[in-house]
Amino acid sequence: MQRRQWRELAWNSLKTFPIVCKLCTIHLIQLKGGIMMKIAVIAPGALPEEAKTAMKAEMLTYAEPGTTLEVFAVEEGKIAVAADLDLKAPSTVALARKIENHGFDAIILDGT
Amino acid sequence: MAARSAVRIPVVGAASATYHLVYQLGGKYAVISVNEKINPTFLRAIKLADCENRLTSMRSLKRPFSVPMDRLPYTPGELEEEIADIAAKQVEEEGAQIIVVAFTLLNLFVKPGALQRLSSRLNVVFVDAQAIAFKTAEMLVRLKLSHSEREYPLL
Repeated sequence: MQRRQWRELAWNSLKTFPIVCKLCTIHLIQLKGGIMMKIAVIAPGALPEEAKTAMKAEMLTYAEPGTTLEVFAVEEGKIAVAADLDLKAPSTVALARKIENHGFDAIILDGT
Repeated sequence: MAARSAVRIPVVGAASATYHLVYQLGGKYAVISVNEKINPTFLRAIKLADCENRLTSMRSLKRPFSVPMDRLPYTPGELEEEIADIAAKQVEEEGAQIIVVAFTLLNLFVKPGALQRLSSRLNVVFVDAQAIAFKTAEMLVRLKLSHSEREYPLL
């Protein structure tokens, strides 16, 4: 092979490296009997971005290998606790459907 | 819980998951809320979960947390002390065995390991509502369980 072809091959390998790593991780988790799961957290809203990031980081400390997490917020109106999410039922329902359609496995209504 | 009638994946309420787990950990529990104004809402959630029988009291922090949280009422150390003071009263005066701090974001406002420190100091169980909600969701997914379609028909 010529030098240019070697360079292209190296570049292509580098590009696919993250995908290969991800597939290996998934395979390893499945081999260990784990399952991949995506969990969505619906925050009551009015949370700044930093709080959502911190919340995600905090929750991931309890997560099993293979669990991923996204934090969503019902932005409309201001409520403080999850129990009041029903006050914003149409938005919550729409968000819940969107979450399910995006392949999430469970929803947590956050806020006690 | 309108969301449960919209989807078939499990929907976990942090409050409900926490109070039902508390019932497996002890006989009497007490709640510390971070804003007295929302106590009625918390009480409604507890009644909805049918968990009010073992509740000894719901006491609130002197300086409330409110939304938006742009000004924090306590430093992490002060917040831990205030929780300790309230919990000590709930344990001594009411016989509470479990303490629920009704604030899923608590860990963002106290120093790491605060609940474990409080548990050892007061010899009472403190539960972390956010961790319980998260682990409940993971457990339901792993066990392939979701809410009853009879109770929550898809609308």
